[in-house]
Amino acid sequence: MSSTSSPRSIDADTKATVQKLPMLTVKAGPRDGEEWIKRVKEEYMALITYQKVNKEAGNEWFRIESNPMGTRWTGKVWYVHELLKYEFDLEFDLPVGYPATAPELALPELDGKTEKMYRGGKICLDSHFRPLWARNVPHFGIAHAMALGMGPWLAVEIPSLIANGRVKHEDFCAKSS
Amino acid sequence: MEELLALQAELAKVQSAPSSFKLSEPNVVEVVQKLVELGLLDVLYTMNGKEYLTPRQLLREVEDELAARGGRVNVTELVAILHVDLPYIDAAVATLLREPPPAALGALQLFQGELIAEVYLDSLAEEIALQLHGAGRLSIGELAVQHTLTSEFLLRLVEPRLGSAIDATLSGGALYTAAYVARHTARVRGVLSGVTRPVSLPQLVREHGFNESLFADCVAELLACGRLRGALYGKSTFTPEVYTHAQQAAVLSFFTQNGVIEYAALSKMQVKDPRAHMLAQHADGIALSSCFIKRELLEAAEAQVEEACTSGGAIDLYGCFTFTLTDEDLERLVAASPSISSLLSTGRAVRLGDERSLLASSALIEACAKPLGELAAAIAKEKGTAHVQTAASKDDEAHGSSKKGGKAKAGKSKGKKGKGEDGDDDDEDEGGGKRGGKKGKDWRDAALGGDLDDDDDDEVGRGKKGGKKGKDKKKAGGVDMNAAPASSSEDDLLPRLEEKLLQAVPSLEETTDLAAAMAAHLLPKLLQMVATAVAELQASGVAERRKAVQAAQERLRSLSQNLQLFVKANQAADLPPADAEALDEALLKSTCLELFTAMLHSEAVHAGIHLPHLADPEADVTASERKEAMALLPPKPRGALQALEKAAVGKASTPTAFLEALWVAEEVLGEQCVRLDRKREKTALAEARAMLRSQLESTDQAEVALHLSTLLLEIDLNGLFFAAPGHLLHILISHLQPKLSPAAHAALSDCYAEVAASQKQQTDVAFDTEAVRHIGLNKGRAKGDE
Repeated sequence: MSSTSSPRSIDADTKATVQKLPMLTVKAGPRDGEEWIKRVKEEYMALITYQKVNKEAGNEWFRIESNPMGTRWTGKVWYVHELLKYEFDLEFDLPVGYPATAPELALPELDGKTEKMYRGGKICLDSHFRPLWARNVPHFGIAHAMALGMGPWLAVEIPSLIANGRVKHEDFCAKSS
Repeated sequence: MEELLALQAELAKVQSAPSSFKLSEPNVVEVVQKLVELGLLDVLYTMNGKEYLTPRQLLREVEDELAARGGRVNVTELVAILHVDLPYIDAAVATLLREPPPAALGALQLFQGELIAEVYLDSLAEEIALQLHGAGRLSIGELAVQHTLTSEFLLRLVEPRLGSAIDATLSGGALYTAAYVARHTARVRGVLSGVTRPVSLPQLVREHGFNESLFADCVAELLACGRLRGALYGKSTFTPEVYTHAQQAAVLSFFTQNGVIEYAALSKMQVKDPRAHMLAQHADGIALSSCFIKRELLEAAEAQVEEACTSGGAIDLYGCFTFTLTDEDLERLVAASPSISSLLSTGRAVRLGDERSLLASSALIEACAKPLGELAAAIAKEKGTAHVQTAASKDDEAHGSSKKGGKAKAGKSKGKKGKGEDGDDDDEDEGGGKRGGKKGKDWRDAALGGDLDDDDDDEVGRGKKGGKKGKDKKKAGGVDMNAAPASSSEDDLLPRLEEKLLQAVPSLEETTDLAAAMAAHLLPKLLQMVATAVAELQASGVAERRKAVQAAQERLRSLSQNLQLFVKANQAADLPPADAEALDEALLKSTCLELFTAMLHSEAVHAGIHLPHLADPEADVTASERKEAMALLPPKPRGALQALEKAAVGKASTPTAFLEALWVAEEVLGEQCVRLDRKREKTALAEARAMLRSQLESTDQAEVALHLSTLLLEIDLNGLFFAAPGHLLHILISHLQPKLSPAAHAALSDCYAEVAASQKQQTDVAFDTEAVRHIGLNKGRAKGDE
């Protein structure tokens, strides 16, 4: 699978939002013991800020939580299209190389529905995100990955999936109120 | 790690927190408006203006409110609670009622503006049951007030739940627990068991505070199951059986002891409808108007009556019974007794007296009837002499009917009229009198020979009736000439008869009032006998009277004939005026007056008035006697005769005028005098001549012979019949002169002179009577002429 060629521009709102997020400082991976704990704390701080910002703006679009060690994350993302809300499960494991390596965010329910995805539902983040991440190691965290990776992907892919009928509202409507 | 967990938790918290508003209120309003406009949303606006509400939500809220309030809520209260306008709530309620009921509430209903769920009814029923359990009795009305519901609603609620949710009985608008009813029944049973005399149930209810609605059913039940013994009269009185027994025992013992019991006594003993009661108890008894008697008492009386009849005596039925009887009772007893009835019907006994209580045997009556004949004969004799006067009016009628039919008819019709209008006194007098005569043809009429051939019995009965009527009339002020004496004499008869009976049969005195009653019983028979006797007596009297009438009429006829002849003679003879006047005057004084007297007598005879001195043609009747006789006559003939009298004795009267007056009077009184025609005149003259001749032949008095001879000569020679008194004979003698031989005339003149002289000197006439008679008998020829 190759990444899409279409350039993924980060809109102004996103930019402003990302600017409100705190930059992470600790450069440590899951195998780094105490340092990793610090790193996870910063991850949490960033996520909390991001969610607060979203709430205030009234455009919250995901929920996320992790295992105790902060290595595996699960949650939901949703996207509103033509007054209908589509919701998908979100899950991913942080790679050993993290934070040097960007996390591989996955939407397992959409596995096989689009070519912009790797096996197992990992979304295909284009070339634009990777260099951005690489330039900002260790300052970017999960919150950034969501804002700059998952968000734009959903905005591009979901409408096309709905348009070509691969995704139907009844299959992905909110499972809980 | 601690911090990590805290952060983790914070993230979760932040994520779960709601997002803050981003739309302004006006925007939202607009959005909602838009939604409503588009028909995407249907909302109701609350009254505080801060909330929207969908109709579905309203339904839910109403339901919730209903549940919260235990299943009953006032629709108008919902307005305040839900802040929704009443029409919406009404609509919501209507929808709820239409839709299948929510399981939690059960069926819904709208009652008097309140929404009521089945749940509420159930809970209310439970509450009532609980309350009832405590109180024993609950009135539906009170419950209705307590729960602000109507009685009907509560009844609808309670009735289906009786015996299940509510264990009670419903009676008269109240609920009673079984225990309460049982307690009440026990009290009623106790009270009614203790009662020994009839009691008023309403009074018992008042005194013992019984429940009125339960009481009647309770008593009926107790009576039906036999726990109580007694009888209910209507719904107001209870008579215990023990009382009835005691009462019947008391009545029975009294009745068996005395044989008679008064209804009043029974009423006092609280027996209702005593008569029917006794009849039911003693079918063989006899129910009288005021008491009830045993048949044995009647049988005892029958025995007494039988004995009295066989022994030829009499008995007072009242005396046969120890208790007082009314007349009606007596009739009933007689009807109830076959033996007395048969005695009466076979004529072996007769009931007497005003109350018809006396029973006399036929033997006794026969004994009493024996002396009647004797008494009747005596009475008839008295009647015969006394009745000439009293029968006047009756006789007048009889006379009138024979003489002048028109008058009688008028009298009859007048009588009828008088009967019709009793108020008019004048009419009454005359009409009543006539009626008395007609209707009350009593035995005295028969005695006078009026209607001898009529049935005597009938006569008697009617006579009595008439007599009684007459009596009434008399009291009322009318004068009933005919009937009044009848009744008075009847009254007289009774005591006489009674006296006679007592003399004849002294045993009558033994029984009170028997003599009087017997007299009353026999009176009709006596009257009948008297009537027969009187009739027999009068039969001869009638013949006499008829003779008298004939004589009077004969006299009248001859007198009138003569008068006509005399008048004619006076007119026909060509006499000097002075002589003619003298003759007329003499005629008035003699024949006219005599005729008037005869007429008066004739009327008196017709009127039944006995005037013997008028009957004698020779008698000298004075003016006062005439007046007296006139006064006795009935008014009509009296009037006619008065006019005639005036013509006879009036100063300027003449025989001709008198004759005219006579014809006028005749019209009123009926034709009795005959007008002379030629033929009759001849006969009359012949009669007069024959009479004069016979008298002349038989006389030996000179003056009489002269008189008769002169008159006879006038008839024979001139065909004129004169009436001239002795002192006027010279007029006739000179009138005869042309027709007589001188010798005869001289003889008559001499004789006249001799007679006049002898009368003057009061000496006997000394003249040859024979010579005068010869002249008279031989049409004026003297003895010497032949």
